[in-house]
Amino acid sequence: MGAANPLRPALPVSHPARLALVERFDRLGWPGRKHPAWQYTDLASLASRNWSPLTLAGGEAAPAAADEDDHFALLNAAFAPPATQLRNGVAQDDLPVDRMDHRQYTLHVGAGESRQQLVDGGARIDGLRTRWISLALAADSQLDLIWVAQESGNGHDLARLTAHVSAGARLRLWVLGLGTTRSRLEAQLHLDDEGAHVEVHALALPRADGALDLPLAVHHHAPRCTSRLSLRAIGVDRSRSSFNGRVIVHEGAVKTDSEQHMASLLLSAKAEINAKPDLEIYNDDVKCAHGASFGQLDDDALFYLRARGLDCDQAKALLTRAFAASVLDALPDDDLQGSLGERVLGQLAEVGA
Amino acid sequence: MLEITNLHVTVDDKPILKGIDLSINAGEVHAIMGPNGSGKSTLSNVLAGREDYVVTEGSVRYQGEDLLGMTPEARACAGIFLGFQYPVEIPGVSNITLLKAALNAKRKHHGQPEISPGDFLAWVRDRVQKMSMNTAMLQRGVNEGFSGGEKKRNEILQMLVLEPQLMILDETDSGLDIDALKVVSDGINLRRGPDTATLLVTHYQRLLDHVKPDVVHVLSAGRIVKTGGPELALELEARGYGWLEQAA
Repeated sequence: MGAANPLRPALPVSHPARLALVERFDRLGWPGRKHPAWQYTDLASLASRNWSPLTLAGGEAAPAAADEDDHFALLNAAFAPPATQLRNGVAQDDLPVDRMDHRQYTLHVGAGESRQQLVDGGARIDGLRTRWISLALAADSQLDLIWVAQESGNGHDLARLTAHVSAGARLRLWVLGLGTTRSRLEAQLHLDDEGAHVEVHALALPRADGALDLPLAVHHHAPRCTSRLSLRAIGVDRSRSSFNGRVIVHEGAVKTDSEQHMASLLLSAKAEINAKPDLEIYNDDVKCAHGASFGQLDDDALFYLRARGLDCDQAKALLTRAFAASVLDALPDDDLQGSLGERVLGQLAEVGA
Repeated sequence: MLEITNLHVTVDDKPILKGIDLSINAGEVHAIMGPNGSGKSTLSNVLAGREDYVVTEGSVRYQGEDLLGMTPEARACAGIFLGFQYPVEIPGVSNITLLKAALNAKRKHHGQPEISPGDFLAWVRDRVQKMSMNTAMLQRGVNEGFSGGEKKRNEILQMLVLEPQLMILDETDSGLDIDALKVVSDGINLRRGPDTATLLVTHYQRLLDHVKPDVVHVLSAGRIVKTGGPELALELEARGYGWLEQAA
């Protein structure tokens, strides 16, 4: 690792608010593994690169100022153009080495409205990308957000999802991590009013030297809210998957009902999976369950299939697919189940699982 | 068809089978009875190729070939079927997926092409009906949420679809009510013929009322202590195993 290059010169416009953010970031430095929030996504090696933005941020006002010590927010807000509406589709902009791209998106789901949003990625990323998505769900609305990360390349792909869920509204989030980049999706999900619901279904299946880091925080701020986290990781190649699920039940959030389940399947001796469920409860009268299981394929099931004539590889492939199926089968419609199921199966076939 | 000679087996270094001699010819149904812990399930699992069991002595030949050198899948493709005492649940793998994969594995082994989807469905539906099951079960995960009786029915369904030559049925009658016992027995009898053989592992006479054995063996403490005709099963039902264990 060479000397640290400040990001300050990469800022194309003289704008006091943006300058303040980037200077603050330069003073903090790139976070490394010793930083508790970045334990599984080490950015220290990015400090010596000569970064230049893919697109020049205009002279517009910088996005809302961030928390002083929030690396992601400082970096993203310093360079991101004003937020745009989150749209369905596939992000295709490739990012070569030493190029970076920072974006902000918003999505507001109106009262009683129901919608589905697909964020799909197939670009090649050798540089650095950050995306910050802010979601607001009005009362009694529903949003199904399907987040697919299948980027190739060796770069870093960082995202943050901040969501506020109002009374009686339901946010359902699916995360499929299938790429080769070092990717991170940080979700801060706030159940703001009574009866709000959030569920997260994640399948981490990064390939080659890829990583998926999924720090999730669910904040129960109000009574009678429910949250469900169901996270599955399959460790292949030299990949790394990390789940850090935090459920915070704030004062006054009585009758909270929360569950988090993490299951891991390690198929390669060189892969790494970290799963850490976490609970902080500042309140009585709540129901919170969590569990993590960790293992290889079930020997009894493997023998059962072989005793029916399936060879060992075929039996393992079927059981691995079955492990992934619990996430895929929960997808909100048949088309998605079919198309994303195919992609997951294709991925498993490629790694010989 | 099956020739077991002086078979010794250990599990976790503990001897379980201590010299089994057993010969089953095509066309025969043998029953193995015996108290808990006598080694009945060990014998079934060793024949199917379970790896946690270590054969320390003896040999097993199936259709003239050395069975113990074969993988579990090679044994299955060669026509051996183990009906499990405790069939596992495999959520995420549907029954129809398993049946198709198993049938095609066997066909591949015999140099046949994959079965056409139409022929396969017709074949499976017919078997499902014979087992008085609902075709909706085909889309469910293997044994997922099945009752004990449904699991055993599913074992026999798989057997009827795969048409094995040697059927080893490990306590297939346990957990069955009277009606289910009849259905399962009828299924077993369907595969009875001059070219097939069956080894029934059971605690109870009641299965043998429906599936008449040609030979009955009593297994006790890892050895076959008595062999006789169907009347032996009736005697065991009346007298228990105590008198044989003492004699051994």
